[in-house]
Amino acid sequence: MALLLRLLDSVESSTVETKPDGSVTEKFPKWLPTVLLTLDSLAQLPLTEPIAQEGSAGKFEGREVC
Amino acid sequence: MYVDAGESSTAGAHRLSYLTIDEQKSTLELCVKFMKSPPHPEALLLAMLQLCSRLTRNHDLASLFIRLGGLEVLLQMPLLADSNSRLSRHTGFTGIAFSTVILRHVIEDPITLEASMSAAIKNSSSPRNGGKISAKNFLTSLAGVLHRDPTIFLKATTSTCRLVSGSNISIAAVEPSVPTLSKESDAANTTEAAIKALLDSLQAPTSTTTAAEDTSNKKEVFKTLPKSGILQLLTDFVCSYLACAECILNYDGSDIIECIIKQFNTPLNQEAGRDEQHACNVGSSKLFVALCVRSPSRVTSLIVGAFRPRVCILID
Repeated sequence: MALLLRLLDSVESSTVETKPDGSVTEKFPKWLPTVLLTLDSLAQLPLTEPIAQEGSAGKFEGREVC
Repeated sequence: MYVDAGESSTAGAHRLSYLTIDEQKSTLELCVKFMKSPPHPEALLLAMLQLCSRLTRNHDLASLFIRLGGLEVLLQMPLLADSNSRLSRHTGFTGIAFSTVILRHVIEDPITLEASMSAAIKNSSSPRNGGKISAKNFLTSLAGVLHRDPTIFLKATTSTCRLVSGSNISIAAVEPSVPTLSKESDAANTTEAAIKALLDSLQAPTSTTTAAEDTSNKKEVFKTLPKSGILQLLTDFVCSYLACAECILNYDGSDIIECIIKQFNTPLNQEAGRDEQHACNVGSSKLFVALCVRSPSRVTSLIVGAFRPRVCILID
């Protein structure tokens, strides 16, 4: 998670590009939508039980999780 | 890894999320910052709107979205295709759908959401069965409402329904109490901010332009949400949420009732923009009717206040 947010931070600081004539353009890397959609997936409410909780680590619906 | 970050908050949307509340806030801040730097590629535009619509399910984050200036940016985003077809029609309509969801999330504070859920629960039971519904049908028909915020859904169900015994378990809807928002509350402020932003963009000069390069095919294009779309949104909000009608009628930008009546009386032009003008006329009449249904006495007094001077002049 921290890595993804650090990636977004790096985009924030590298988007502005100043041209020789003084005009400023914004540039976004091509992987940015993928990172945002990954964060979207992580932010959504899981419909199933979490894979591991305190006291039940390593088990999901009674089965061992490798 | 499973993160339960929402112990202190009442909203349930972020409580079972893999992002902590701080991470969600940072993500939203960055997202709004990106939104403020157009032009965006299609994929990025949709990803930003999708992520914002997900995060603003939590009303604390929806309030943050307003404070960051997200509403103004959202209503000024180029969402529909222009003559150069930088954005596809699909992207435009998907973008508008996400924008609508974000605006709904901004208005749906916990109190308003609970009231809306109570109304949905009440509507789910048929009067023919004496307001009763089986537990299975109840959960099937309200699955979408439940998924919006399970915690608030549970509260709305507790205050609206009661279990009755019989041949099978059924749920009888009881009259829900109508919640009121205090004027100083954060919830009232977010609703007011959303309605104000919509009315401001409704009264702003029209955002339609014509393709200067392609004079042979002069067609109407939209840079942002069209006025007819804004009118449709306002009508939906007035029908869905109790506080919205009051927010519209209390709008201090100008006389909103007079503006709406003028809008649906505007004659259609023979030139380009006729379809949009017709949609605006229909949309404004629907909004007027919705306002009359929600707050008839207030609308009557505003109409009398707006048109009485002219009536007196005519009589003289």
